[in-house]
Amino acid sequence: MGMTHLEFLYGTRIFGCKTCNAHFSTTEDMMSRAFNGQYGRAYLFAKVVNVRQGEPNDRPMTTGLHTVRDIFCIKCNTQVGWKYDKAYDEAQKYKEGKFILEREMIKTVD
Amino acid sequence: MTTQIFPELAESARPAIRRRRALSVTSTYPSADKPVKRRRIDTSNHPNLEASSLHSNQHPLSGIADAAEAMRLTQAGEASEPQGTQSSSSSDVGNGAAAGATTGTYTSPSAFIASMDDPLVNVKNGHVKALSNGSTNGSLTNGSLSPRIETLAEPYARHAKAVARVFPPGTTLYPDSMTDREEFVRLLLQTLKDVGYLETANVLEQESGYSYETAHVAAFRNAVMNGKWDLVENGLVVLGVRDDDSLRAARFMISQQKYLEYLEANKRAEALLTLRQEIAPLDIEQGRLHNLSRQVTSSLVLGLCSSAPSLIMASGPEELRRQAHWDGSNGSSRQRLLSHLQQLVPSSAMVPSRRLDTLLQQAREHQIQMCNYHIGSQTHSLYHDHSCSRKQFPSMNTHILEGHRDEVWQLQWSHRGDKLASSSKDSTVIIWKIARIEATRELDCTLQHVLRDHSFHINAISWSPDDSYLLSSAEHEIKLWHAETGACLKTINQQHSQTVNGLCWLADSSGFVTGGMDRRIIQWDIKGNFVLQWPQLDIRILELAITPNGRRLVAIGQLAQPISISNEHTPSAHSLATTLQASAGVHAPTVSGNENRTSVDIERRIVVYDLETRQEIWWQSVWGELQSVKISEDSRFALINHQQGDVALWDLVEERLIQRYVGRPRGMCVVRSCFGGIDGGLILSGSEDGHVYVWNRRTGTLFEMLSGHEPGGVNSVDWCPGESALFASCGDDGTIRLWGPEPELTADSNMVEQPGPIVHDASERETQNGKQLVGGLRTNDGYLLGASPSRMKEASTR
Ligand SMILES: [Zn+2]
Repeated sequence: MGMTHLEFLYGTRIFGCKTCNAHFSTTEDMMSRAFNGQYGRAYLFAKVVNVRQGEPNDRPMTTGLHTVRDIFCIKCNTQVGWKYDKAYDEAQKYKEGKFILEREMIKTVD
Repeated sequence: MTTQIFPELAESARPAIRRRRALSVTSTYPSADKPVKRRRIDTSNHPNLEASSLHSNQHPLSGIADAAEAMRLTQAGEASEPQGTQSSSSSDVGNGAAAGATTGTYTSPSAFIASMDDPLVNVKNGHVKALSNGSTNGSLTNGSLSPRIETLAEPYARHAKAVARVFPPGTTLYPDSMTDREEFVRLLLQTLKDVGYLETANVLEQESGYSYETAHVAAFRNAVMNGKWDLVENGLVVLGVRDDDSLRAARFMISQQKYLEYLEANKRAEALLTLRQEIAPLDIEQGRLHNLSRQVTSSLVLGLCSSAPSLIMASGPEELRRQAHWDGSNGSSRQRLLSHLQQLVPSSAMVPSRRLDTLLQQAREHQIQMCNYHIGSQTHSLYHDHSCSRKQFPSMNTHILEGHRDEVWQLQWSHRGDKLASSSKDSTVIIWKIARIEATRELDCTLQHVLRDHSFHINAISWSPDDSYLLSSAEHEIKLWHAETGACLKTINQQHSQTVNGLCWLADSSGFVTGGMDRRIIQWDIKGNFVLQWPQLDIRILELAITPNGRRLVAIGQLAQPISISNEHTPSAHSLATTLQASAGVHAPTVSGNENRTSVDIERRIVVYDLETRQEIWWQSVWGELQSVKISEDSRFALINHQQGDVALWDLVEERLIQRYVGRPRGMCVVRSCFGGIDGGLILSGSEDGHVYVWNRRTGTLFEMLSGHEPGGVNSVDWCPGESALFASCGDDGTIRLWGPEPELTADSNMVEQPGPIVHDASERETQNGKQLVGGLRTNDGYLLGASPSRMKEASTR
């Protein structure tokens, strides 16, 4: 496959991996701050880069059953959140294809 | 050149033979006993030839050869022509010309007579008329090659007789030729005179009716060479130099020479006078002189000006010559002055020195540039166009080095070409020793060290200029290694917050420079201690390179934030950029909203910095991912890989795109390219389609697509320094491959097992051999060493 560069983003504020500074997303792509993750507060993003997706599995969440995949930083391999593949509740459909990043796993990066 | 010239024979001419023989020893190249091949005209086949006129030129006494030889020469109806030029006055002889001599060189009484060139051409086209114009000019030309030729004795010179002038039709060499006959003949005359074939030149002048140069030129030349300064300026005017600026420049150069010669001769009063009355007034106009012509007012000429007054203090001629960088009136200084002055004179009046040879050299260079497989070692012949054979080109995969456990991303030869460093996705760097077996000139490859302390895959590697150290970076971490022992001397992991893609050494080996995606460029000393950090850049660095002359740092990178239109610092530069992108095939993305920007939309830049001042000298905006940058040996050009597939050659001095190398498919990964060939005349690049692409640097012709690494891509290529036919490639297949010419087939080569693997089945063979040899060839590191099976060696790992 060869060497690839990590993706770097344009944005007013860039969120990246707390461990290795890899860019994940920007304030422009942030949809909501009102989520909770494994480690507390989490954010919903429309788009996230530099992550590897795990296998899909069904998880019961506070808002109902979802099919989700864990996402990992492609540089340091830390698990940083998850991606919604499918929401079974009609009201939750807006989350499909979107990403959760746990606030505890990210920081503002340059 | 139609009239064939043969000697008239007469016993009485004998004394001349001895003179001739003496002459031949001191002048021309043919050795004394080597007969010169002759050519004849058979007039019976050439009705146009006016035989009567030829015969009318017969000369009673100039013959030299013995009677028997004469009979041979004059038989069969040949035009028995008096050899030798017409007596072109003994004043010409005074210039060192052997005027009135026979053509060719008499080497022995029975020798053949050297004769003129192919008569058929001219006879076919032309008419031969009796020579009417006897004026020739036998002065030596600019060439310093001219041997000294003793003046021929008067009686002999008088014996020479006129040669018939030939009037070919038209003004060109051939009816369909572009070459002006007069120009050609005059260049020929210059060459002949430079070489010392003065008699031939004289004959040619008569036969063609063209003279090499006028008496005015000779007078001018003599004035310069004999230091008759008063005559020089006037001579220039006579030769057509009329404009004030040129004359002022000439006066300036003449005065300087004069001044220095006075000083050299210890004539201080005269020197001072020259300085005050001639140089000082001109000095005021120096600015104007400088504008006139850079060629004419060379740095030497002008440089002298400011230091001229101080030269008067020089303690003696030696000191003077040293201080003025001037080699004295008896050295080449007058010759140099002459060539400077000559640049002011119309070239038709005074042919630039060595003109024909210059043209031939240009033809040679052109042929070399067109030669795709050029490896530089061939001798060049004028008889045929130069062209190297593909047989000598490294088109064959000769060695496979296996040691990495994953894709190999980059490789780099040491500057001496005796080591190869490779870096991999497996987070290791390997140093390979590539020795040459003296007797066979074959390569002996051994794995020397596996550098395994990095915790990420390796992004970049770089040899120090003296090959003592190797740098590597893996994400934000940099390591400095001792190349011989493989010891890690320093780990740097605090200062860069993002991936370090740029690693390069300062040209003087005093330290190195690193550049990262964090927009930082940091300088370090030789031990890896922090020296300084540049102000944060606009770009995230994708790769860095320092020019071999150490002056410039070239960075390729991607803009960290989009620059709004109002923020654009040089609008002109941007419009230029747009034009160039179009020509580079790099298209700007369609303007979209701010939403959903992807890396594809991000602007990339090539930025050139002054390494000392750290100022941006020039930047060029391009769209689409940039992959790698290499600088040419002369520090002038940057070779940049674009992800779209193009490889682009940029001129850093003229700040423009020079050439594009196309054909490589678009890719996703970092693929590197390099200059190749003995003189950097090739461009090589890896490619994700598994081929090594090779282009002619000058013409951009893609002429090789070498296979061997498939499946998977070729990530990097590097030409071995100092080698005419050796390069290395590495790929996703985890191997490093060395490429060389196909072995020459000897008579019994079919019987003997070939030393190296054959290109097409190399991969399979290596694997099989590798499996068989696992037990014996594991290194201490547990890495399988792969090399050409017949030359595998136990690796020394520590
Ligand atoms: Zn990370």
